[in-house]
Amino acid sequence: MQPGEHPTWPQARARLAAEGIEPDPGTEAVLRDGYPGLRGLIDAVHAVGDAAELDGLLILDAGDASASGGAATPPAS
Amino acid sequence: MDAPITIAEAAAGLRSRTYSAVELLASCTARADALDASLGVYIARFDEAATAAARAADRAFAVGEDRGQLQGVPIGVKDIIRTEEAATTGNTTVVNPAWEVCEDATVVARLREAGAVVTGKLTTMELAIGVPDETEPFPYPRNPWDTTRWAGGSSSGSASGVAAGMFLGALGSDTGGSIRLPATYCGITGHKPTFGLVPKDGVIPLGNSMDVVGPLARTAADARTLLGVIRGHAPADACSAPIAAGAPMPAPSSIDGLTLGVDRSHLDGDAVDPAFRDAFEAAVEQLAGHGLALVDVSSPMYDEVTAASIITWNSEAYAYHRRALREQPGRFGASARAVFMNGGLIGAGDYIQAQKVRRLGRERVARLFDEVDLIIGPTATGVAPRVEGLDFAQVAASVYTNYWSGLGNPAVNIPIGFSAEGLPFGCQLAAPAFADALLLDVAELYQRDTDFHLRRPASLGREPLDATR
Repeated sequence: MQPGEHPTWPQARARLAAEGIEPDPGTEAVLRDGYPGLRGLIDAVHAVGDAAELDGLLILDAGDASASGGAATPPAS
Repeated sequence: MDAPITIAEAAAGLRSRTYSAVELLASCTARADALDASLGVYIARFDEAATAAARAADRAFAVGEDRGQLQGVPIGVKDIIRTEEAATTGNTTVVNPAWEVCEDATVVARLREAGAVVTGKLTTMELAIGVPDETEPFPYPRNPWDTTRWAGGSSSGSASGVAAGMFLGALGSDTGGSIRLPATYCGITGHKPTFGLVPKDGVIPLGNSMDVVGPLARTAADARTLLGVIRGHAPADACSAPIAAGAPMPAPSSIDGLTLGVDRSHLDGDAVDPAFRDAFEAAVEQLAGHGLALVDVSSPMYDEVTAASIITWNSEAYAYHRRALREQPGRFGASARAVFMNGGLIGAGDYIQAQKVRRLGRERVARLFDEVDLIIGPTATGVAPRVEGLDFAQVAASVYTNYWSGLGNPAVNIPIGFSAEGLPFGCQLAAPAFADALLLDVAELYQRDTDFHLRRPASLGREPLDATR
């Protein structure tokens, strides 16, 4: 995803509505004002993530925690 | 006689019969009576149960039964962690039957098995998101060094209560910095363990793949004592690593030949207090004086991993709270509601790419840890902000904790000095996954020659301990 390819604010707002989430006006203003910043974070992860070839699902679990940091193995004790 | 301020000091006093566990608890309780209205540390106090636990500890000492350094020592628990005495509030009015269960989380059960005296449940920012909210009907946690300032969060009461001497150690949780930030603002030691090292069953989640439970205490030695009790596998936590519970912490190791990576990437800029830079450099120099070799480093993929961490816990928090956001949105505080709903703006593809970034970041940082043993950097480059007019975005811009949370590595905040106004500064030491003991070894070494972690606000003084025995 390239910068600018994100959902627009109205599209993102519609996604929330589709989930049954209805922000009150104050919250909606906070979300709208903060959306460009959020898109910046999303750009940052896509800039790396879209270019990386990695297999597998990458959610952490206990085994993943054991390997956190790469090849690190927890002590036996 | 002054009350002890460290777990080690208390453990020695209890074993020498200088005071009893009941007397020690009474001194902490008196301190809470005097200070809690201004500091907002407790959500719930368990005075009756704590007194019973202290009496049991005294009976155990009397018959020579000794379950270790925590026996008879007052310890507080952040109120997102289950205890048998009271429901868990999470500092929210949102209703969730799971939070009303009155059973000990594994970490609390382990404290009790070690003979600790659980004094009560402590303030957290609402549901651990770290954003202060004065509109919520809970105590607002203030900083013992200056009560016009924030204690930091989200383990706010845990940090301010230790700093104020209301208990000698506490459990907190850390998803993006919630142990380390309040520890740095309150001038104490706060350790974020390796992800998976400490079980988190019975803890209200924020970001399931990043949440950790860990200790806050005056000293790194005390943090080691607490970690030694709570660490180890628990079947109830699917993220719990296969490390035997109850196994002793590795003995302090030699630091001969260790290399310290020094990350100064965030020390430039107008927002950085020049006094912080001086304190940081002095801490580096002090560690070098112990024989650690210094190497300049830059934490790899810092911005990307930080972004991935924020996206991850925002998404995971949204997923957990989505039903409540639909059904009882008005029960969330304004700031919590906005943060959680923000997670609903993040797409599945964004979340997955964030996990990719975390994986790549872990690989890169693991390679860096082939070259250095530890990395030192700032926890935050400023001091605790004032409560009035608190701009959380501005605060977040000077905080450097999300990175290690996203990677899962252990990190500890240690106090390194004070600002011109007399407010604490701290820095962060990080280590390879599961090298928590090494991290605390080096922190302890630093604290052997410094006393920043032991200082207390002059206005608070020390509580006299009335030992009548």
